[in-house]
Amino acid sequence: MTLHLEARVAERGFDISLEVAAGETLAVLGPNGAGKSTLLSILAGLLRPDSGRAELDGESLFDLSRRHWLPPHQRGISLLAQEPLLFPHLSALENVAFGPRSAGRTRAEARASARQWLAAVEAAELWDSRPPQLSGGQAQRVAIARALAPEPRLLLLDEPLAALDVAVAPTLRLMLRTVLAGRAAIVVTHEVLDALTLADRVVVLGDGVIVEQGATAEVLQRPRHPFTAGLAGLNLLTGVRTGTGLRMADGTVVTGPGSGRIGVPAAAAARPSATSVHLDQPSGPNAFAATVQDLEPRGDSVRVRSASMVADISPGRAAALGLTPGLSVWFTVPETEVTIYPR
Amino acid sequence: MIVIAIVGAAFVLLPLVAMTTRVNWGGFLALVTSESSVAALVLSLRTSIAATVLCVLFGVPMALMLARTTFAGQRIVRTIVLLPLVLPPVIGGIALLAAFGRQGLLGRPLELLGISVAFSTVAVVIAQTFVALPFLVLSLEGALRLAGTRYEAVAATLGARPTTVLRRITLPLVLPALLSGTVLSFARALGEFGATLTFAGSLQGVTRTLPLEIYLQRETNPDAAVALSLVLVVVSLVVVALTLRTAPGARARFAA
Repeated sequence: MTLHLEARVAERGFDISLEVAAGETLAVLGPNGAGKSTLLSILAGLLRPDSGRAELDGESLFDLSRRHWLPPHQRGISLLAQEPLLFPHLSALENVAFGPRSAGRTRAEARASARQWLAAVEAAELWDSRPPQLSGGQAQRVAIARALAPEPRLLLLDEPLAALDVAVAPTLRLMLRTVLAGRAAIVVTHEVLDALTLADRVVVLGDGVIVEQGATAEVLQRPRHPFTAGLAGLNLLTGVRTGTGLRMADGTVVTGPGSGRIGVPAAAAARPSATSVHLDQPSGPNAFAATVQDLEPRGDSVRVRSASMVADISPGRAAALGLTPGLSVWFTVPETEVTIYPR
Repeated sequence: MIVIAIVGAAFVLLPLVAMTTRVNWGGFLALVTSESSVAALVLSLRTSIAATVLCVLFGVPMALMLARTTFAGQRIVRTIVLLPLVLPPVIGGIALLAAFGRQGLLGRPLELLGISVAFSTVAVVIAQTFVALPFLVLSLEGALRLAGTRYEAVAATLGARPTTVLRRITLPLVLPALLSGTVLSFARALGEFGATLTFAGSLQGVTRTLPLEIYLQRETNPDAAVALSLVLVVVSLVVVALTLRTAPGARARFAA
């Protein structure tokens, strides 16, 4: 295993223990204030937790019970932030050469390596540019090359694509996928697509603790936490497993196929596009009373939102129902569209 | 508002223009090249340059300590460091005498070692450094705070040790402020009068700097005083122009 971390910061309610395997990319998801940036700062050596320890490739990064603390420049951990933060007084090439140069390589060696890294991120022609001349996407490419150039043992990425134009983000996401392959990395993101494209495994943080984790596809298909369900774009209903499905806290029953023993806490997931909306209580199973909160046009469908569920229906259907915020309606999901699994 | 601004500008400009009307242009060259004038000018330049070097040597670490670290009593230290900025220079001179004078706190032990500071050229440099240092510390500390620590954090995660970060990131980023602070310190040292007169006296060629020479000449040879004043005005204009050029020009390079 590459990284092992345990850390607590009392003031922020942060208490996390996690591992990253060699060559594995871990996505860290979670709402604002969940502790994602705190996690990266601790690993980079920019923030000292109250207690805990961390090991990278068998070497201790810090062990506060022994008062051991490796400063950032001795950790071999690069940090790529949302903004490129290229040194404004250095050219693109000198920015990328900064890491190798700091590691004691000669100027010529550092520059040669910088050229290679710029080529690897398809920014070779930008070598002579000053940071203010670069577009957001170009600057982030150079920043990625700069973060990789010192050959870090672990790469930390803090929402690397969040500040970019929607037009540039997809190409850069694919480029990141290439450079992250086989490399130990932690990507903090808000974007489910980043997790799907870049990560082998995801960890979801909420209020400073890990609320769920697992293989990316598994977590996104079977979310256990409302935040994850929101990211995955799924309706999530939670309760206790019964013989035919699950019973929610308010007594509502969800029926559908699934796994898990009777009596264990369970969750039911359903896609919004498989969810429909009715004015009168339908006779079948899986009908949930709700109040319309808002309506949002989404291309060829309309997203109907209530406190607990969302449904994507056709604009014609929305007009026929005369939906307005505040209206009491019923959401239904066919049994075959529900997946039930233990939480 | 425009009228008030024009009146304000005129208020600054008028005395300077008035002074040029008093210049005896015929004898100008002779007046500014007299033995005492040249001695004062050369002494002023030598001492001001020495004081500026001392300001940079002491001021850069001081600004770094104030902007990048936290320690007990930091606010008090900052207040004391900036005090010479608002203190009447005469009081600075009296304070320096109390410290470095023959009977002073540090002066007496130095005297025993055979080193006499007061009323020497060294005293001029000390007085000038004392009043000019806050200009450098103030502008550099502000720039360091403005620049923030984010670039420094990135540099550290790229493997740069603290001295490398300082040399290759921190100082280059605040270079415009360092330059303008240096120029301002030089200008303040060049114009120093009160503390120099009190602490260093007025010995031709030893401690009589240009402002002191001008003040003395005003009694005996007003034409020479005006001529030398004009020289100092021109030097100051060049200094201000240099500051304005280095500061925003360099900032534009760092923009966006």
